[in-house]
Amino acid sequence: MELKNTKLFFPILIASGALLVFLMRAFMNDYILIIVNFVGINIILAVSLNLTNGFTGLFSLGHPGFMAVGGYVAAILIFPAARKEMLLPELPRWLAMQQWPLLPALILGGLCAALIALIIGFPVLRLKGHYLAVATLGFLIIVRVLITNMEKYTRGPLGLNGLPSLTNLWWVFLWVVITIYVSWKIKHASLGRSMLAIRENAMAAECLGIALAKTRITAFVIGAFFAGVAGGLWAHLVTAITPTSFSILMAFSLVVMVVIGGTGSITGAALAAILLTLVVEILRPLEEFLGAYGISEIIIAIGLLAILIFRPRGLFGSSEPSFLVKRKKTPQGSEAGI
Amino acid sequence: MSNKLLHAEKLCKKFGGVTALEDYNLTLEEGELFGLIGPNGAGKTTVFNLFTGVIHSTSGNIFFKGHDVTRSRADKNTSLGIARTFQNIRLFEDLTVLDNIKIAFHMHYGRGLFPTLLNLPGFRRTEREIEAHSLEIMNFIGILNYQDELARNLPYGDQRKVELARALATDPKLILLDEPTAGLNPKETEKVMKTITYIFEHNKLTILLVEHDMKVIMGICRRIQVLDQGKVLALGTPDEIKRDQKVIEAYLGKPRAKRNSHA
Ligand SMILES: Nc1ncnc2c1ncn2[C@@H]1O[C@H](COP(=O)(O)OP(=O)(O)O)[C@@H](O)[C@H]1O
Ligand SMILES: [Mg+2]
Repeated sequence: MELKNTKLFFPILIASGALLVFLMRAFMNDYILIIVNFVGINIILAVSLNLTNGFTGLFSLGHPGFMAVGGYVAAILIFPAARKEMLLPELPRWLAMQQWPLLPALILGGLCAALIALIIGFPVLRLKGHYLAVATLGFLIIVRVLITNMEKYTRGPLGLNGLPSLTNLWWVFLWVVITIYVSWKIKHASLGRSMLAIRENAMAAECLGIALAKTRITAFVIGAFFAGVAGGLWAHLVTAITPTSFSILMAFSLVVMVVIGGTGSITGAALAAILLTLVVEILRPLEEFLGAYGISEIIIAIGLLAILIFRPRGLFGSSEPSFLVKRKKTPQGSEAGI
Repeated sequence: MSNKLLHAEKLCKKFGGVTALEDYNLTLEEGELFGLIGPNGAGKTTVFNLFTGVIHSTSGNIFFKGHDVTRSRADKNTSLGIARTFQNIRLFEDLTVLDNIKIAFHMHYGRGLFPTLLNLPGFRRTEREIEAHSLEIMNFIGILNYQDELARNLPYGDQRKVELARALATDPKLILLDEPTAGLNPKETEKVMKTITYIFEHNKLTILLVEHDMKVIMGICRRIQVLDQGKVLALGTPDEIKRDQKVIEAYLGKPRAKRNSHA
């Protein structure tokens, strides 16, 4: 609470983040930098999934599906025309000629994912609870099947490799900041409160004038947009993309991040993303050394169980650390006569 | 005819094989405090669910302020001016009391995605207005001291007050109160009834009050309708109702149903 002005806190946070990015790029080796990039991408994914699952209570497992959409769109747009001619000779001419820079391709990838969320949102978001989870899982599988079969555009199961390695820590940092800003702003505004209301009690929300379908779709579409962007960043970090890149396991670990962080907490989702990514990456060499693959999954699953048992509302519950959300107290004046 | 606020005709609601409501008619005049009573399972909450649009009727029609709202969605009905509270309290438990009230202002004041993200002046103004109005209503109902408390942590009686404040915050023409004294002791009951009368006199509202306990509303409603097993048993002034043979039978002739036992 020592910071007098919370308004200054966020610029300071962003500036320190930028400094950190600068220092890491100057002094860290490539291996560590790649891990840090993954951490950032997972923050984007967890924080945006938190908007759908955490704020609005829509238990979606479809996030990797939106990533795949954004990833492929960005990859096809960015790929140098010469390589496209070689790998994707059947691509329509207007598409084969495109050779976009990273940023607009990421945005268009995100928009395509958002558009698909809008289209599937109407039928799918009528479902509740585990029905919705199963339906979004179905969506993820359909996306993968479609990508596998649209060989003209995607090279099917072979995927696209040799993508230009455009993603760097600055781009990832930029999108982490944008994702957190957007969800922070929404959460602390009337729009976000209406989302939280739906999660807490849909019938009461409806009877207070909240349009359920519209609000749910808004949350779903925003979440999908950032998943699409993250997919593009991911593809151009790994420099390859195949239908199997976007797995049910990934859907699971993203949901775990939101649950561990505390459904609805932006800070929680971001910290859980950092934690889980580091656990996986740190254990990876150990797994390879011991030849015992899956240690990290087991540890994550045990961590999840521990959280569900000992702290079912996650590390942060639904809230943010209090020094970030100071509200000026109104004097608690005279109580009315009733 | 002119000051008819709500009019329901020949409403019928079936849940599978169960007929919860049959040939139900009601006309509410603007500005009246109308009582709806009946034993548990009579269909009172079903009437509320139909009026608010939470569920829709199997047959029959509902008109509010002259609009046909028979098939209209709950949030649309709320924006037309129908508000309600719930028999089993439905607060946004993990949110603060202030946020609970603020949500009721979203419909009239809340801004969409882009004004919010761009932090436009209009957005900042409405956020301030929402907060000011919410605090005003909390002060009016007497829950201002709870503003930063999570709704789940409030005592039962005060949770009912939050529900009332939230309903008022939608700026309604008609408030439907579903057993607002359920689960309260006699002292709290008296206090809540006083609050309701105060709100009624203060806000130029029409109130439809559901109770399964006759005594509670005999004193404050001029007209009362009695429902039993999905059918209207009687309609009249408290005195007429008290003397009605069928009502006496429904309430006294049969063993009394358990109190407050369901949603
Ligand atoms: N959603 C529902 N599904 C099935 N039956 C219901 C539902 N809601 C109410 N009922 C039935 O309709 C009847 C009337 O219920 P209700 O309107 O809640 O009564 P009251 O509020 O007067 O106690 C009861 O028999 C109840 O079991
Ligand atoms: Mg009832």
